[in-house]
Amino acid sequence: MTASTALRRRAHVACAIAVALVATAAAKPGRDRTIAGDVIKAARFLATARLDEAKDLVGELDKRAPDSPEVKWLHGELAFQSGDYKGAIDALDKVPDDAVDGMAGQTRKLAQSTLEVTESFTETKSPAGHFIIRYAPGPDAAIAELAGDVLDRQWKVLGDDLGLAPADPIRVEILGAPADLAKVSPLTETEIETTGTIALSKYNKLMVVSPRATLFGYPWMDTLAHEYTHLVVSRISHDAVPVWLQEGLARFEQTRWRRPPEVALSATEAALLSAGLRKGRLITFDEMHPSMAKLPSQEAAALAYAEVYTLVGWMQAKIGFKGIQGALAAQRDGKSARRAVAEAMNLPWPDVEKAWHAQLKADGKARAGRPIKFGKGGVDAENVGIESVAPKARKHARLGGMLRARGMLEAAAVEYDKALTAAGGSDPFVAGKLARTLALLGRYDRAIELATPLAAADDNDAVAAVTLGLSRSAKEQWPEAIAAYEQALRVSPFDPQTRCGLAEAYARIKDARAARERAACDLLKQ
Amino acid sequence: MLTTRAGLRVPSTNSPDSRRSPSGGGISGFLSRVRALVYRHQATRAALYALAALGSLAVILPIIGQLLGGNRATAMTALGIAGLVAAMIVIGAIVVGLVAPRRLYASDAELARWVGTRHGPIASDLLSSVELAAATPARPGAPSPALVDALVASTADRLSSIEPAALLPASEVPRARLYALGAIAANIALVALAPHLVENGWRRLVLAPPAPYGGAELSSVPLVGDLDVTLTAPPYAKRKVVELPSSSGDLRGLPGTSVRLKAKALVPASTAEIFVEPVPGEAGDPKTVPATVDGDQVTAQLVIDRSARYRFEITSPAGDRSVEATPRSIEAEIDQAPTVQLLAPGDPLDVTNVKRVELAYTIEDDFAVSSAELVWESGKDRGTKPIAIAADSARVQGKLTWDIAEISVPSGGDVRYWIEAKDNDAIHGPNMGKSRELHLRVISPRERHEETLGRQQEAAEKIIKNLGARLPGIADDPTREDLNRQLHDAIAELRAVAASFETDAQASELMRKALGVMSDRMDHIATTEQHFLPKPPAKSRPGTFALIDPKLIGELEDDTIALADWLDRERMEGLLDITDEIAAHQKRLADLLAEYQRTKDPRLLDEIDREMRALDRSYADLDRHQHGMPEDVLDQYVHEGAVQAQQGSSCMHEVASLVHQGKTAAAQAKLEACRTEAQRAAASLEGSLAQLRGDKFSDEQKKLDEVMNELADVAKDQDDIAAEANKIFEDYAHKADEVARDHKREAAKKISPLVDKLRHRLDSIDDNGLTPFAKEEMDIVQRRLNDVDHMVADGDLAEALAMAKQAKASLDTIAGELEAAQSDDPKSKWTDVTQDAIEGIDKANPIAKELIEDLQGLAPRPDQIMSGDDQHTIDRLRRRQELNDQRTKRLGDRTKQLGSELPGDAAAELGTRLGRAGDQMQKADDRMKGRDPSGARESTRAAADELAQARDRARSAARQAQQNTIGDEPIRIPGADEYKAPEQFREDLLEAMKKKGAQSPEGYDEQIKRYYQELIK
Repeated sequence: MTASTALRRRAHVACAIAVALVATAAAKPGRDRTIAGDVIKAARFLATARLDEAKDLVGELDKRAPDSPEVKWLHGELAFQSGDYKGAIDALDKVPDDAVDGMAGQTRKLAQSTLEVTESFTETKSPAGHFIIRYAPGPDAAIAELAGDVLDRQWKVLGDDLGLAPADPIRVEILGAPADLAKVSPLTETEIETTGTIALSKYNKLMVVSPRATLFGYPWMDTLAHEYTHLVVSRISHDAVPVWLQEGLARFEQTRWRRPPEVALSATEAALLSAGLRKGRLITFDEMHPSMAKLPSQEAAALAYAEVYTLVGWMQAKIGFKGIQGALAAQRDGKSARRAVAEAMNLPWPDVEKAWHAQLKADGKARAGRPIKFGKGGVDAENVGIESVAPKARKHARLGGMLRARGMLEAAAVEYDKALTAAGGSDPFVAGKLARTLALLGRYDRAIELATPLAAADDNDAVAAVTLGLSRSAKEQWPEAIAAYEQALRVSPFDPQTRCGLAEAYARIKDARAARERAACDLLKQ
Repeated sequence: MLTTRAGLRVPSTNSPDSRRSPSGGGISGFLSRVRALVYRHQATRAALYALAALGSLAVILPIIGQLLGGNRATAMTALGIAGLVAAMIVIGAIVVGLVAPRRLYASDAELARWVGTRHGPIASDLLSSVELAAATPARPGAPSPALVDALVASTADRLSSIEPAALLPASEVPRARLYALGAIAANIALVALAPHLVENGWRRLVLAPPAPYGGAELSSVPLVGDLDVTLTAPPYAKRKVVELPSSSGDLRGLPGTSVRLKAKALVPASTAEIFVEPVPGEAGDPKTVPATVDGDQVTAQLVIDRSARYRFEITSPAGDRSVEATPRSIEAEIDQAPTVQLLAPGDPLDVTNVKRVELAYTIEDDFAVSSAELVWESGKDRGTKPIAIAADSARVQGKLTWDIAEISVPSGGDVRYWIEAKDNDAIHGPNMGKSRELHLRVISPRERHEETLGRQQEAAEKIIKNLGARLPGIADDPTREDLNRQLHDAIAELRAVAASFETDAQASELMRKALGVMSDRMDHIATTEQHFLPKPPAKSRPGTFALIDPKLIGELEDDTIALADWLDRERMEGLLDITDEIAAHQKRLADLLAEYQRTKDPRLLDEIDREMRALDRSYADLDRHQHGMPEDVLDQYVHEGAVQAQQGSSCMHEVASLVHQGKTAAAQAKLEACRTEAQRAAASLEGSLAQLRGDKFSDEQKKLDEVMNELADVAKDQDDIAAEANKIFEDYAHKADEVARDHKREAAKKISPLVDKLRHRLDSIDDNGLTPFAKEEMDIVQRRLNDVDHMVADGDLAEALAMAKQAKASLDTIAGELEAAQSDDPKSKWTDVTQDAIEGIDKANPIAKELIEDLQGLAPRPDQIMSGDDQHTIDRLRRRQELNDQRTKRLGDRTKQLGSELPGDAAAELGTRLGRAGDQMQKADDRMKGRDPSGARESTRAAADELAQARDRARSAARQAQQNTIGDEPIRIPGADEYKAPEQFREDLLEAMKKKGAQSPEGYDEQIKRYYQELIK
């Protein structure tokens, strides 16, 4: 889940500039093109992801009014959005903070804090060259190449699906901690934790928190693809697409780099949708405006995301990507999202909603979901997530974790077994822990038996996937081991077991990726 | 070379030709080689021993020389003996090394005998060969020459296999060499280590000492007379110049004192000088001080640097030199080191690391104290704190506040401290005095609690490891026995922890009980297991522990979880304790900043820095505690913003930076922002704790929730009652105002004459008839009557009535007092006039009564003002109040009953607050019964406030919060405010007081004396 669109300030920026410059424009009538008018236009270009057009206009403005604070600010903002943070600070030199309705100060502050975070970053190009991955030297190098690979694949898929494959390389910044994301965006740390935001598409770049900042990882590859989708949709539509459709498209497209289009809801989302439909309390699109983060509760936000996801999935099933492209183009040309969607679906909007709700009731496919867990600096993380275990099984599960943390694997397995029995034999948390413990004890068959359904049920269950990888590798079942490790890689790329296991498995089948994984393995073991 | 009878050639004893003899020459040659070796061996050995002996002598001699001092005769004796010994050594060496061997081994037979002692198998044959070969003429019965030749040939042959050098004792020369080298090394070492000793020792032995006083003649009579001495002390002593006319010449002064000597020469003198020599037995060189001779006047100047002796030496015009045989003394006065007394509130003293300790000191020196400092040591750490000293003070006393925050000592750490003071000795450098060492232990209740929790954690670890070892199954009896023993150890530790919690105010009663019960349960099962363990070599039968194992494992599982839960909860409480400390420090910092902003007193900056340091430590503690908590507890209960160690610390650094830039207002604003954030975080953390309690201690939390719900209901009802009472009062007050307005003019008309009349009546009473107390009481009556006038003028008739009642009461008091005075002393000279006064009061009383009645008539009672409906309403409200009071009491009883079943101090806190609320409700009930709307409003509101406070405090009280988080007040020395002056000072003061007392007013001497005595006790 991201809050990228929720945080957009582009419209506000344009409005602010307009208000600030209206008086100037009024004072100098009679000209075909006023500086004030062009400043507003350039600001709009910047606010709607049209950097090339903004660049040309700012170049012209520079000749006409090089010393005006507005033009300096445009220079600064353009430099900032182009990734030249130092240039942005220089451009705003001696421009007062309150100039351009306070925008100068905001841009300067953001550029300074971004520069502070990214100053030491190194960068690498994605294999196909469509992305520039920037990251702090160190362990993040282990995912830079993978990130580029995923994004290149998404670039190609989105080019087909949505009709835009940007020619300019897109910057991707991998940040070390949520606190860094707070520094390079208008979000606070608390907002990041509350909303579960871990990545943003903003300022003509993608920003993503490294999975190493979390306890168990998160689906970071899909998240990168998700954010890139936001960027593409913004560019296609000149940022005219409302939040609900943005999120729906991004959610629907985020797995396209690795699988065909489909809607796969998590268990929680399915439950929320089902309850919403039953009680007639779905979140309306109007309620989703201007931001999903403004919804009254986490549950409401989760329900809203589920709704838009299914809507886009249903649309795609009905009208295909061509239809979606048409809807986006219509919005770019000024039509409302509802109108554009209704026209694309060739149905009046109430009928669109009715048909979509009917589809929702019919679709019951659900998968498990799990929240992202950030480390809070405590000791012994074995029992993180224990609250999901049924109360009657929790005591034994907790004891299992405590024993495992102390290296008493045999005893831990006994307790996990008791917990699993108490839970009726089907608790994913306990089963996952037991499977991993058994794998470490060399009881691979039982470990595989326990972990297989877990990994199948939840794409993001890295624990089960690694357990499977370990067990399959031990039994020299290399293709199965690779599949399991790759699943884990999508969530937990900093787990040395994943990377080293994958390196070995690739090597056994003489896959060229073995070198990449071996390098990552060595790096993570340091 | 000799030829035997048989024509054989046998070696002659000394003939070199014998070497050339093929057979007998073999023996001879052999012996020659041996002889040469023996001579060399003995010579070498003797030389080396001689060298060692001479070396030893060379070591001993300078030492003896040094010990003998300047005694020439003894030195010569020692030197003579040493020379003799050396000669004997040399001679001995020659005899032993050269002469004796040549005498001993000159003949072949002797040498052959010696060879025989060194090589036994050849001894007999060799000696026989030599003797037989040398034997001439042949004696009867002698062996035949052929036989002799054969023996010689055989012996010669056997000798060829013997190496002559091997016959010499191998260890003799090396041993002698070792001794010689040792002696040489000892000499080198002595020269290297004590060159002066060697040099002086030899000099004293060899050279004759110079004649004393340069060979001057000793004079048994003084050479000078009429000696005047002027002593000028060093400047630091600030002493006056001392003139000593007609002195004996014996001097006493501080080192650095300049001495001017002026004397009359008693013998003809052309020149004079003074010999200054060390006191016998002390080291030092004598020196000569020149003197001036002017006629018969001799003057000289010297400076005292140590105790010494001096003599005048006079050279007569003829050139004869005389020196006084009897020396005069110079006594160097010792500048004493300062004496330092240090007083502390206790020794050893237990303090927390955030406390300040008050210390008192007295430093005295014979001249002046130049500096002083408090010194402390803890392990390797040492710190000092300068003490401000007034310049040139010989006696300094004062107090200092020592901030324990300056010391970096872990809890339980021991600190030694004392005061060091230096005097102003500018000659030999400052002398240092030191007080006795005192001790303090830095102990924070929180840290002590945490240490116990650490032990609890260790016990819990042992229990979980025991469980872990049992779960997969126990392989054999020895393993089980081992596990059983480990479990008993863990139980003992757990009991010790529970015992430690007995005296720990921060430990929850419930936890103490839980640990006790847990230990008992575990002990019971573990003891049962122990009972069934067979004594080796016997083995337990299969199934022996089939019943015990599941029970024991179940118990260990439950206890592991319970211990982990308690530890999680206590750790969370620990975080909250630190946030309390942070809040207290921040509050104090805010106060300090406000004070600094107001006064700009630079001393406050030190205090501000102190609080900043304390905050730094607290935030570091918070961070450390957070990192010590289990991740799952943090994840599940502690919101990201609840523990803001780094953010808080960085916020406070910004405050510190602003303070140091002098931007106090900005610092205050920033601090407020930090405090708000900290409060928000603390509230969030309290929520975390409540959530954890709810999850893991649901019974306890459930009971608290029940009580809190009931309290919320009671508080809501009380709020309603208070609101209703307020409304009744507002109505009543409105009506009362209206009535008062109506009655104001009428009251003034009616009351003023009465007041005047009463005043007149009282004025007519003769003051002489009143006792002092009655006079005071009469003043009160007059003041109350004035009040009545004012109140009536203001229209406040109720207050006027109250004043009139007080005036009447005072009149009654006067009457009683006067009657008592009459009965005490009926024959007093004041009897008549007092009786008149009593009568005057009796006459005034009816007027006072009338005044009250009139005022009562004018100021109706509330029940007279309130309508019937109003009274009905207040009655109804009273019943509600009564019901709520009963409900509050029941809640109080329930809370008391639950006691330690509620978390933290919730029961005690709620009990107190509910009790106070109940008292206020009772008051409200009484006021309503008395139709007193004002009192009813006040009491119902107070009850509602108490209940609101009970609700507010309950959440915090549900924690085992530490008391008195931060005390601003330093630990004081008991009774230090009533400081006792030293004995001498007391006496001086008393003496001064006596003199002063002479001028005091007549008859007050005794009182003044007592006053001063009390003062100086």
